[in-house]
Amino acid sequence: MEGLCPAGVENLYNTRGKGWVVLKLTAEEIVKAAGEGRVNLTAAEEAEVQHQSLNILALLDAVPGESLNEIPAACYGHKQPGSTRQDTREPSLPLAAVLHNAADTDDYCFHVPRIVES
Amino acid sequence: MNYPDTPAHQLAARVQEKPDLLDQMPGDYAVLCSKSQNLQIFISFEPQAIFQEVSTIKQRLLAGKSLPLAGATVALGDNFCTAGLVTTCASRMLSSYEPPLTARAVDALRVQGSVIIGKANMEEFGLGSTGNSSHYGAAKNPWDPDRTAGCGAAAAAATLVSLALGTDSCGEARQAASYCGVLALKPSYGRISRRGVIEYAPSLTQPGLMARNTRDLVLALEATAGEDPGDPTSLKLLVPGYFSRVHEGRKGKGPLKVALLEDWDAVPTLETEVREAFQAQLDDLPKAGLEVEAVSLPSFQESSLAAAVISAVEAFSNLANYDGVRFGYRAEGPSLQEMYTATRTSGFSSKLKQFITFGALVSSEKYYTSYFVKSQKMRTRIARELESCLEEYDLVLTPTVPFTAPRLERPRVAWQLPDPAHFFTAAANLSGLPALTFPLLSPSGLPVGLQFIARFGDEAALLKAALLLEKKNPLQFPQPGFKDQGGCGR
Amino acid sequence: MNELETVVGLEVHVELLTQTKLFCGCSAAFGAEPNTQVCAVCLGLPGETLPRLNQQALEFAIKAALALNCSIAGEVSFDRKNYFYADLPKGYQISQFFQPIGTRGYVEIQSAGEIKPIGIHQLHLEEDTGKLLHVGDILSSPFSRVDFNRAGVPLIEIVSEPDLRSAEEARLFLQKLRSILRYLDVSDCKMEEGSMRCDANVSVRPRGSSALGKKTELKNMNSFRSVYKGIEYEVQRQSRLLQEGGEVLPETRHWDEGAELTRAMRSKFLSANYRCFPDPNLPPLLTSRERLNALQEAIPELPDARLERFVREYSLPRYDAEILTATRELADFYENTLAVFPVPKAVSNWTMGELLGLLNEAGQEIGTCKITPTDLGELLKMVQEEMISRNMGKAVLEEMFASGEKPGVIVEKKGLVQISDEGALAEIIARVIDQNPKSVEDYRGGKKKAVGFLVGQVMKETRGKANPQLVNEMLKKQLEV
Ligand SMILES: [Zn+2]
Repeated sequence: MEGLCPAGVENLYNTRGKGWVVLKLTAEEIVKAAGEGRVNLTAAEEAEVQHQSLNILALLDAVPGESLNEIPAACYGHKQPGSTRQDTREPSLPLAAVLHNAADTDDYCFHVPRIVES
Repeated sequence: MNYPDTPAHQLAARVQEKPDLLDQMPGDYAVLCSKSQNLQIFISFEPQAIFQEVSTIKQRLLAGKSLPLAGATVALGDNFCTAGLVTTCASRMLSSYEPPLTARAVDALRVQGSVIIGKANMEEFGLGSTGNSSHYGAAKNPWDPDRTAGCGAAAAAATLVSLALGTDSCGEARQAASYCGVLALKPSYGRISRRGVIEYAPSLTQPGLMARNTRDLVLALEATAGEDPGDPTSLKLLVPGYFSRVHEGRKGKGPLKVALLEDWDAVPTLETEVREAFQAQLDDLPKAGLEVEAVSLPSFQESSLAAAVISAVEAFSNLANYDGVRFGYRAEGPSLQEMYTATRTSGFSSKLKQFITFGALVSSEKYYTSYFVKSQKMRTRIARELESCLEEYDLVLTPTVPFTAPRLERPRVAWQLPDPAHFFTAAANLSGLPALTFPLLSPSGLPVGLQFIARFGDEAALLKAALLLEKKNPLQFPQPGFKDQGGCGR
Repeated sequence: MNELETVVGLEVHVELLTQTKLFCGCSAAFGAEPNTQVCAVCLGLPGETLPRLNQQALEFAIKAALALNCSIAGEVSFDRKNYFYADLPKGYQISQFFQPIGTRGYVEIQSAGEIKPIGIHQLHLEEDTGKLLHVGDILSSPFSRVDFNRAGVPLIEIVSEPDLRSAEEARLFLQKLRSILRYLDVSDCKMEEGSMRCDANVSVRPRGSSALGKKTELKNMNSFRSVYKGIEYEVQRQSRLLQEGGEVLPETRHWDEGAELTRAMRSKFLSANYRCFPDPNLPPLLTSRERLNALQEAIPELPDARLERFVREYSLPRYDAEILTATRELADFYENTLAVFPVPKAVSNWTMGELLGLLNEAGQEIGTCKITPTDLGELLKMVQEEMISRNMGKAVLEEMFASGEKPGVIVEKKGLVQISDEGALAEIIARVIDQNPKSVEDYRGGKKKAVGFLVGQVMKETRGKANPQLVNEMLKKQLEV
């Protein structure tokens, strides 16, 4: 139960019993990831994500990978096989309820900034 | 009669006999909750809605219906959808969202006669419990208003309600209960329907139930558990009659066998308050009828790591529907994608944006296998280890959170990966096993939690253990801080 | 420069004919007012994105995979394909990324007289997206409008191997695919309505090379014709580029139907490196052997098998059999007609020649045709029994096609019954001979063709009802006396 990495140490982490390793995680990667999540981060937030990410990725690196080779990945919380439903109609929402919470609509449709595809 | 102070099961019995007792509830609540405003426990609270809930219940009682939770007061985390009542997830993103439907668990409580008092403040989207991401300001701890409260639990601790519902994705409901000194139960994955529950990590989340006594927790579980065809991960296991299970004898099985997590006290973030309260309780457990042995669970300490990665990846995807188009806050932008970014940048809290970024990072091609899949494998190993331990023992025992409620003005950090609060709790989410936190008091009078984890589907074992502890540890709700703030004035 | 070879692979999306959407109970019907077929699930509302899999859609997908000779995955699992776009309510599409239902199948096409197998890389089940509408002209529209009625409608995506060597092969493959899926009754495959959509990966390379050239992805081809023309155009464009020493850019190109050319497009996926991971809300289902066997047994005779049987059993020319088995409806129509009038070649001629002609002219399909197989059979019987002439038969068929009336009713109403009574005809023939001495003289003088004029006169007298063959024989007999 080792503690967290000391703050201020960038890109250099002590993996348990395996010495120091350099872990590369650039600021560009953080900006790109934020963009892919459609959020903008401030410079301070970027630095914080980078710091936190380096921290946890180093801790994960310290978990020996070989010991996990034969273990399947768990993707579900559910412990039973999935199920199906019959192909029968169920009521849809009334149009008024569909549009009720939207920021910008007309009588039938949601509005988004104009999209020109080609 | 004082509604919130009376255990739900006692209240139900009285109200069942005399429905008129309900008449004064809306008025009383208007007073109670206005007095507690400074704690910011509720995001929305509408006396008019309470009035309507109460009159419906009264009519049903007068029509001869038997309602096991008649008049039981409930605070819902504001991520449980309520048709006609704004559901915000404590986020600017949903600050005016009116859901068309009500969460299945909420309907289930209403069917049994309970009254929804209001929507409780919480961490934005139920993520974590550090106490500073609510768009409405942090909920304050009734024991000490300078400390965080987490979701819903504060309403129960301040005796504003008998029951509270909050989500538990990495342990949040149990953590909140631990901070506030109430009981919380996270059932087996799939036991309670997630329909209408707004969550950030679908493979980890269960609605968490909070109460001030075990008996009420049993009633809440009996009301909300059960198969829901509307939830594809709903359990098809028969729901046992918890009440009889909990109260029946162990039929020659002897005392409950409890595996204590070895090295529980070696956690670096463990506070002395927690260590002392937990240790004192450990010494008392044999007297309460629990047989405790220390057991080594080497993967357990990896659970907050795996949970951080898995929950962040799921949050990245699960919160992608917040795009400003069909519902929720919207900021304008010249193009579609710029509109999305503007909306999400000003609609989400700083913590959530950083968390989503981390989720995008670890699910990117570069890190997918080395971190995301690795975490999923760790998840399997953690679950297997717990399950095999539980073949021999009835329960696994740990503290709930390594520390007492964090101070609001000096948060440990804005957020942390992995979240140290998840250290003991995340394993139950990863494994889908049911877990419960029982409130203890530290030497200096702060709430601390003791956690049990049980076999899959065996919530009864948790409730039984809680009942045994409850007999030896009369629960206390003095709320000194709350009174200092003007409190409820009971 | 060496001779270049075309390499094409197709990605075909097909909407399934279910009542409801893939993961909720909303209607999957086409053509409703915008946003009237949506619910909390398919709209991706907070807390409601819990998908419940449509059993019928799953079975349709498995049937299609079996019919395309695919191996079926041992478990059915679904993944989230995450990206942000206006037509995607949840911010992810539920699809099958890691384990498609079907893999490693094939379809046979007939290319240049040879049977050629085209590999199916995979077939998977996924949900459709919503639709973007515009106010008037796209460029002047102040905003785009979004309709989510199609969001969540079940689709199967079929990805071929790059085995196609020409635009023509691509068209043949697509037609064969449509024919098979229609036989299975899992989709109506209407390219014009968008229930069948096709993207093509096109590249060229020096003949004999086994490496693939740089490919472009071709979109917006909304008919079989435009698939053909689009690929053809793209092949020419790429070949010219390479021959001029240029390079093909790997990009998405849009087929412009009006201008008949392809243009590079700014795509929503251009920057895409979208993430896929298993959907935690959809635990995998097991596909049992018994279930698969039952589905396999429920697969009807497919077009190729039916074609072979038509050739074998009915001794039809291959050409006839190909046309008659092109759709399951037409093949059923043919065989149902045979049940009433068991003369295979005659039924084939009438169906292909007359009936399909009428359908084409009216722009209709056999499914909506008013003529029943029984009625066609009855009509052919009348012609065979010489109750009416072949030409009358055609006229009656037209009337049947227009009104849907039974042939007997039409024949009676119009008094069309053929005069094959020698007594009745003898009188008319005598009169015609009397009135046309010139022609009689010509005939007797050796101009045998003159009989044709006289037959025509008899037909005119009988307003076409006389049996022409009989008239011909009787006339000759009279003239030769
Ligand atoms: Zn729907």
